[in-house]
Amino acid sequence: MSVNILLITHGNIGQSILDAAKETLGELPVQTQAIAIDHRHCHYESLLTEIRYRAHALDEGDGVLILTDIFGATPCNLAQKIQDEPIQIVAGLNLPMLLRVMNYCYLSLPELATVAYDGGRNGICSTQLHIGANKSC
Amino acid sequence: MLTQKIIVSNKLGLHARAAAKLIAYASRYGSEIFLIQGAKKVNAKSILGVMMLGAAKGTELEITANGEDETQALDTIVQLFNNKFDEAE
Repeated sequence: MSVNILLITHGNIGQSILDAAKETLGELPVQTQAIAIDHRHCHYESLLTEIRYRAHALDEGDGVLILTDIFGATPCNLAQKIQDEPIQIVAGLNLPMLLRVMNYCYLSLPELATVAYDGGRNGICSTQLHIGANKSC
Repeated sequence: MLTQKIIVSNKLGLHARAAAKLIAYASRYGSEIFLIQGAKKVNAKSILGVMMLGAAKGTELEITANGEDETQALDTIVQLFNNKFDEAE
């Protein structure tokens, strides 16, 4: 068993990042799915139902790590409504975050959430300001 | 502990797919493997660590391996660099 991953983002951000991770790593070591949120065309309750269904389907017993693109927005707010599944949520999804999660996918749900948080932050660098690339990863 | 210096010789340097390949190869071994570039020292089994080196073609790196299978580990990693990650130029 392992922790599986659910990306919940505005539009196709999550699917695009997922595609880039697959392009980089080949076959991903854990089940990873993306849900695109477009609140203009979808009803809030139906989105919540889909997220709940997908999270339940992904949970093999070790829980599901939900990665959303920005805290406080609908994708993250919807994820926080899921209370009947063992989940943890990390907001601020970027490609470094997802690659690092795949790198350490054997960890427990709380550990993997920390890995995601660190990966997302440490993946941010400025080549002009010469900051960010010396962090421990 | 074994160490060896190499030059990154593939055209695109340690880009994402090359880094992923390095991690996959390094993870086959129990030894601790590090890449050192100047003051930077990163775990060769960490994709983000390797990518944060930003090592372009021509960069000199020192590879260290420490553990029971350090000889095989170092040979494999050095060969990977020397084979330019099997990438077409």
